Amino acid sequence: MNVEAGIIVRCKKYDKSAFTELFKMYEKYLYKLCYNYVQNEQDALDIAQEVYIKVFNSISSFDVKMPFHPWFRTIAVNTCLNFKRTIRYDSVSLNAGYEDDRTIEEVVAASKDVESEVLDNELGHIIRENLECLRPKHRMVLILRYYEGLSYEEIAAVLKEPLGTVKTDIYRARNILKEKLRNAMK
Amino acid sequence: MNCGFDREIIQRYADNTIDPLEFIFLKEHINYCGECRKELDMVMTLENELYKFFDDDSEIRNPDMNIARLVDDCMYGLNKREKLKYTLTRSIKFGKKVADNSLKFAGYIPGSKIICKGAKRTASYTGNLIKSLVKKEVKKLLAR
Repeated sequence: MNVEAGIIVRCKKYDKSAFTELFKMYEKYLYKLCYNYVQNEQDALDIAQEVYIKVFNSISSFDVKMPFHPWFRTIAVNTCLNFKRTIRYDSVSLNAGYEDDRTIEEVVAASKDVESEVLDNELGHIIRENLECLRPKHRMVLILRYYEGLSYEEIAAVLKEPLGTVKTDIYRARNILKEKLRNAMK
Repeated sequence: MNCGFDREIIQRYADNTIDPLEFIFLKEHINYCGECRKELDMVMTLENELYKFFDDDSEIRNPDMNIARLVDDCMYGLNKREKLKYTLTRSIKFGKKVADNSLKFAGYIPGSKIICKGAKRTASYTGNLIKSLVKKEVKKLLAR
């Protein structure tokens, strides 16, 4: 993503319209990165919001001569890795009415859980299910490799880890998913 | 794998980071090892699926992050911090000015110049006295 230096300079002066423009530019990218990590809409929104706040608070320390996207990405990656899912205790009456006159009991019985996908033989769904089972670091390494398209060296730079560790993490993550895929295909 | 072939070579092939020599070994090996051929198929299938998976937007709804409100909240927080910083800076400057003026004022107290002169004279006299005493004692010691 190419961000004009002009927008960043205006952001450093705390220009409200510049920030709005910058955040809108990154909205889809950031949300997708967070969603790929947590596989959950609400958590993805929470993380994205936290990233924006961190960017706002630390923009004054950003060097305009450096590219903006890697700096933004590092903040997003670290925020994801530090994120701890909050347990939600929202309770809803099962007998409460619903939009189309069905009760919530009927809706829950008929439809699928918002946070999980329909189990079928599609490989994409199998990956989605098992992505959450991976360790946070393994998940993030896969995202940086397959979503961001980074090389191993670039991933090592983002995560501040040795190259060998990154390769091992990717191989491990792939092995886990490969076994799940193999079992599902049998 | 029972054949003992290093499975990491297959991973490196999938990554496109395989050495030319390793590639030759792999190519030769899968000609006769069915297990490794299946493993390679599985790894390549997964590799393609992962790229497709992370590229696919269909399962992800368009986010509604209410950017305008978020920026408003951030600006409000910033203004609070800036105000506090400004207040603290002003208080420190004010305190410094009070201290400077107090010192200047001390110079206008009647008799302060006389007191300063007197203090300087006394210090000089005391210093000279101590020097002469020390010189005397050192001479005595050397004479012994």
